[in-house]
Amino acid sequence: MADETPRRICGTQNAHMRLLATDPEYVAARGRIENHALEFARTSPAGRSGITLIPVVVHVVYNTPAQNISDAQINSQIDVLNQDFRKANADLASLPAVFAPLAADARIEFKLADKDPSNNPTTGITRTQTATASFSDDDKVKSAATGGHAAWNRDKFLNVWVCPLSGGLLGYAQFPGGPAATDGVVINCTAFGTNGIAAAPFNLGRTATHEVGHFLNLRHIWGDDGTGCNGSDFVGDTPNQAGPNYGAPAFPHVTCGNGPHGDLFMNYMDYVDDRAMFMFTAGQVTRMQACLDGPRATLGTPKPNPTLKFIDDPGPSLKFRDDVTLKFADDATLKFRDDITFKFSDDATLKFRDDGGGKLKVVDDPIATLAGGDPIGPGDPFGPVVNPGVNIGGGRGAQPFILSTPHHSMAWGRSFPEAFQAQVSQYEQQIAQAEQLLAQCQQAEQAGALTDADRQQANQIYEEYQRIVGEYQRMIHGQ
Amino acid sequence: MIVVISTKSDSHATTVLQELDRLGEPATLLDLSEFPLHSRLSIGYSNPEPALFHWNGAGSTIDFSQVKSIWWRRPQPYQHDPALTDTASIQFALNEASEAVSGLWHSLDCFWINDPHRDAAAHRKVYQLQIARQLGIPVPETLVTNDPDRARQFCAIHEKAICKAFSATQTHWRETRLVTDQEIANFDAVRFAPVIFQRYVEAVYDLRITVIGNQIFPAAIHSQQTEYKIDCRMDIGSAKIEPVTIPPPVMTQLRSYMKKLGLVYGAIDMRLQPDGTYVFLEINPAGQFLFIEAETKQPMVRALADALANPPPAS
Ligand SMILES: [Zn+2]
Repeated sequence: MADETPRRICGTQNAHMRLLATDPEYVAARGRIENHALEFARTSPAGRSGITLIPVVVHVVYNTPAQNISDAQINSQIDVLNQDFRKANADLASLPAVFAPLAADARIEFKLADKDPSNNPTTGITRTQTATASFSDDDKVKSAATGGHAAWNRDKFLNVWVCPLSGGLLGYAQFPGGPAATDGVVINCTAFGTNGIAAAPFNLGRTATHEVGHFLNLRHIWGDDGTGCNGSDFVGDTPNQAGPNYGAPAFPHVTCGNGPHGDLFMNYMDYVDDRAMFMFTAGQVTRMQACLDGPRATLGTPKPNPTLKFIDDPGPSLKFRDDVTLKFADDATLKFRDDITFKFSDDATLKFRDDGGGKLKVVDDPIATLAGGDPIGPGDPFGPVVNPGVNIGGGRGAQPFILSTPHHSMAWGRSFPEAFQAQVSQYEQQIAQAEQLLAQCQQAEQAGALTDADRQQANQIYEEYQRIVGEYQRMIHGQ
Repeated sequence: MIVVISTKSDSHATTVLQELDRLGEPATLLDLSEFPLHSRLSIGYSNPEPALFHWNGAGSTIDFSQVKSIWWRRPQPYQHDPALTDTASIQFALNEASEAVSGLWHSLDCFWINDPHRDAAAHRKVYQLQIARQLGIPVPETLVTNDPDRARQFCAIHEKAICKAFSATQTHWRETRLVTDQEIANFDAVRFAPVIFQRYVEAVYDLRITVIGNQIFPAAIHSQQTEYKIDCRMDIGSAKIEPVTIPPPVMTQLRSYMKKLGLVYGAIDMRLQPDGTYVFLEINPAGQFLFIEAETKQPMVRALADALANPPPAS
């Protein structure tokens, strides 16, 4: 194959999986954080008003002199962040009109720190020469002992490491809930800022915008489910989307039945080139503000001179709030039941159909032999084939015998770490979804909106939830 | 020209393609999921020209009249153009794609590993057991049923019984499991879908016997020294795997078995019982072999490449 133009590669999901598999505290924290984000989105509390100003420390970790990037390159990145997180970026004008109502001001600004953790004056930049030729997403750049530079207090600073990264990796972030020593974002020095050694097509500073989005708890817009249609970014106003988009797609790009307008590929949380991404949605802003209200409550201060123009930008977020409220307030019982059926059946059944590329364990059956739909009879070796996608996470009824009792051993995790981690991540998503549903059940119960049938369903979901959590814990803690 | 029908992410396909390249054999990967989305197929009959079988894909152009052998490795589902959005259109497009391509396969006069029809039939576990029994190859006592009462009965007769599923899908992979109280408590759920119950075969070790044409590569998997003795796939990472010899009568039986199924390639799972009996468990017509070759150094990649490069003369 000929060389292709470079594509965006982000290591955040990798780092997330690694922490899920190694850090039980992270697992617990992620659960709490997701609950908080959901609650925040639903109840729309005041949160932080105005604009939050976050002090940034940039740790330049360089191997060659060229990688010791200039102050000008660093400043250019801070400028980009300040435009992107304030909906002040000029290229927003390219947003197709149909998506205009979705774009929102994140109300966050950044400045290089002027006081270090000991309260001494600083430029907000550290510079460290390293013997390491390039780093990966394994956090080595975050400690002097492994060739990098230690984080500053993450309660006060956004730590940004800028270093050479290998394998085409542009950057990665740690979601909220992880260890303090590794909290922050890492950006490849050639994908940082807009001048110096920043290289096209990643020379408009959008890698940092994307990674800081993760740092503030945003997920990839397609839901990190490969190219399936059932992963979620846990944001209500982003269209359902199959997989990542690359390069600079033409509008519209329809997947997962999201026509006519298609994917919101111009979102910062997709994988397109720098020039092709230019907006956050109101739902994403709500999620970031939830993060600043919850797990990152100590980070940043209110900006002293807020420009009123932006504070009152109620359009999109109001719409979002209405959507959420509507679900319960107007038509509680009916919606509630729809939700359960729709979410559980679809997510659990369909989510898994498009999973991964057949690296599972020693599975000798090619997926292609599994089934064929009418009118192509089962077993037709030439038929278009569909993974039957049996409903494992049903929560609404019985399961076939083979699926109704748990694994007898988790030994395969050691032999097939990739498949194992994929399974862990699936369970994580299912758990988060079940928790959302159960929280809704609770709320509906308090509102007196549950029927007996609803309660029965809720109990089934709870049983299923417990079963998945049990399997999940066995996997995490090894057994 | 040799065609490998698989996908880029299949390491077996890519490894064998590299080997073919090393041998100087023109070969190409054909991913059916590119069809009809990205690939263009044309089949033409106009007198007096010979038939036209032309495939123009994203990665390759194939003149099927020049293809001498095809490895039916991991055929992928066809993919429609997302411009089609309603179910009826999609289903129609996929059916038509299937009709055209199936016709193409039938029309080709080339060597297959494995012939898709034979391959499909050989995947059926019931049929596998049936043929093994016909040829006198020992198989464990088996009951396939969705009748909970019969299942209970079977598991009461056999002191140790296992249950397993027909298919291993990405998400619903379940290891072969001993029937314990936990399973018995759930026996009512047997009615929802047939389950395979078998007498548990005690093992000295598991065998993975890879057959490629005339060559047989038996390997012992020392499953009884791993964390999960019931199903050697579970802890395969810590199992010692080594080449092993099997008695000539068993070799002969396996050759007959392959012939009867009409397979060129197959990965056969057996267990050596403490009493010396070789018990047949199943055959995987698309089974993996790289994980065995990595340990045993048995030259299976080479054997597969050779088989594709030197097809037997058409009979
Ligand atoms: Zn990312």
